[in-house]
Amino acid sequence: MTWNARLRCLHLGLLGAALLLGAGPGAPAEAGNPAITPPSIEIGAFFDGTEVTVSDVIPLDCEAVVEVLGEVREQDLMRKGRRWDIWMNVGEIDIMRAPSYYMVLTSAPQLLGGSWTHAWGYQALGRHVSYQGRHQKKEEPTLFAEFIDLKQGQGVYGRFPGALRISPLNEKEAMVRGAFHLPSRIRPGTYEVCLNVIKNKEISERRCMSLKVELAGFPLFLSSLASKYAVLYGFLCLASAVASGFLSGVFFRRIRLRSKPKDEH
Amino acid sequence: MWNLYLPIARHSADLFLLLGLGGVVGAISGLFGVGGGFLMTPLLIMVGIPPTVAAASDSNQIIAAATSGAYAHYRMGNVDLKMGILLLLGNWVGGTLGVEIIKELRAIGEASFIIKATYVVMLAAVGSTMFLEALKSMRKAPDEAEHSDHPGTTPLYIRLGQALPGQTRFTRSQVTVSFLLPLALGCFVGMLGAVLGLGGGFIMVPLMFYLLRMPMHLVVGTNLFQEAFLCMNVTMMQAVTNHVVDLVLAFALLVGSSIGAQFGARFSIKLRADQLRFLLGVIVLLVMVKIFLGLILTPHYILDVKGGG
Repeated sequence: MTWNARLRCLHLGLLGAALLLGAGPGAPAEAGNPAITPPSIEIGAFFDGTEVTVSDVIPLDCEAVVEVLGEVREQDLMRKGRRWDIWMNVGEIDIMRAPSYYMVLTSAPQLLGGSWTHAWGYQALGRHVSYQGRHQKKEEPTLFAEFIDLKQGQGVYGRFPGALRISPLNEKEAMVRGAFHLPSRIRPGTYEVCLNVIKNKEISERRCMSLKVELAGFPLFLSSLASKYAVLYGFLCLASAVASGFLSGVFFRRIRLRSKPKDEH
Repeated sequence: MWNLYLPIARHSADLFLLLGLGGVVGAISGLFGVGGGFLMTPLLIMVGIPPTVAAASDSNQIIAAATSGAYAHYRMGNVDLKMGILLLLGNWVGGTLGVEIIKELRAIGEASFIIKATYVVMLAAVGSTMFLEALKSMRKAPDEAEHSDHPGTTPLYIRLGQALPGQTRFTRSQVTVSFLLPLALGCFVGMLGAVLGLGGGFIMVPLMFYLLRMPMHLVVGTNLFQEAFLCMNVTMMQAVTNHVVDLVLAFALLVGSSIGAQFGARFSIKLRADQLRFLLGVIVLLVMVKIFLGLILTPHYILDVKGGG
């Protein structure tokens, strides 16, 4: 399956996931779908990123590759350059058709090399993205390498050869299991978790599930207030700051007044 | 457990780290009468907060530190309200002009370089002047340094200021200057503050001391007073137009900074004016060196998210 076709599948998958939300995304594996734990992520007041486990049953003599893809969108970036020996932003580069989040985990290290680089991994991503902004065509590989560096630094891109564990269940089946990290800077949205089953050096099956990440509780309340009622939110910011300033002033004054008689003794 | 999710920054941060940062910068704010934006914003960026959210939320938290500090100084008689209002008026005019200047600079694509270069030049000039002058003053007899904020002969810029029309007596500061001078200073600092994205306290404080000849302790309180109002305006604008003020981040910082500001304000009266200037000069020069190194050393990432993510 080509990269374009897989992205089309991803878009269809996201649409399907939206329709199936009532059934609960990421529910335990059913008819060959991978099980995701936790099945959905809620970003609450103390959210600090989370570990997500993916598992499924595959035929015993197969290998596996798990891909996790975020929403495909334009990435607006600034490019730094050196002028008069000083580093500064020298222009805008927009990277098109790159996912906001990308993780790839394999059961065997060689599944990220050789002819498999056409199917998944950074090279497959690189063939698909396009660039806008002031640059030369020959600079694109360097720009892509810098882009991957930046995304890996943010913890939203990663490749983990050999990170999937396969353990036999019976004479015909095995359990494949792996985990990936969603950092705290993860954007709310629907993520696609796909398991590729590889038999005789060919992709025999691709099973996908959606993972929903959403704001909840106090972060959801504040985020909605800030975007929908910006003036009210602004006044809330001012009031809380002024009140805190004055309250601490009064508090410290009382402490000083209480400690004065002791000082006089 | 102790990580807080910041809903506007879309990032989590350690609660105690935020309280600590707020406390340290609040103490510096109360001690020197500066908002601390020139310190806090780079520190927040270093812990992973997007620059736009860092700058806007910092403005929000400065309100608490400035209100708390200004209130503490007001009770000690260290706020010249007449001077503060004139500076504030000038600051608002300058801020509006500065926003237009930055629009033009962005249009020609040289905003980043000009902002950083201006920053380094201003910090170097202000920091080295304060540092050297305070060092000179500290080397004199302690009695002389303690009893005189402005020793020596009257410099040329003071004599020029005295020639301006509209000479007004500022009773609290015990100075007579043209009312045009604080208006112009406020305008200049407001313009520079808008261009640099800061409250401008670190520039305002030395200018109030050297040009307006105000006593150092009144400089501190009066600057905090005008900075509190200035940051209220910035916070409101950022919340309404850009939606980048993170209340959770600002609240964690302001709890720390309100407490720190009280300690800073109390400690400031235990230090001599020249010691305060010496310390602020050192801090300003350290920040200047950090920004200068950021300009000349190869960055970790050649690409960066536009607007800081």
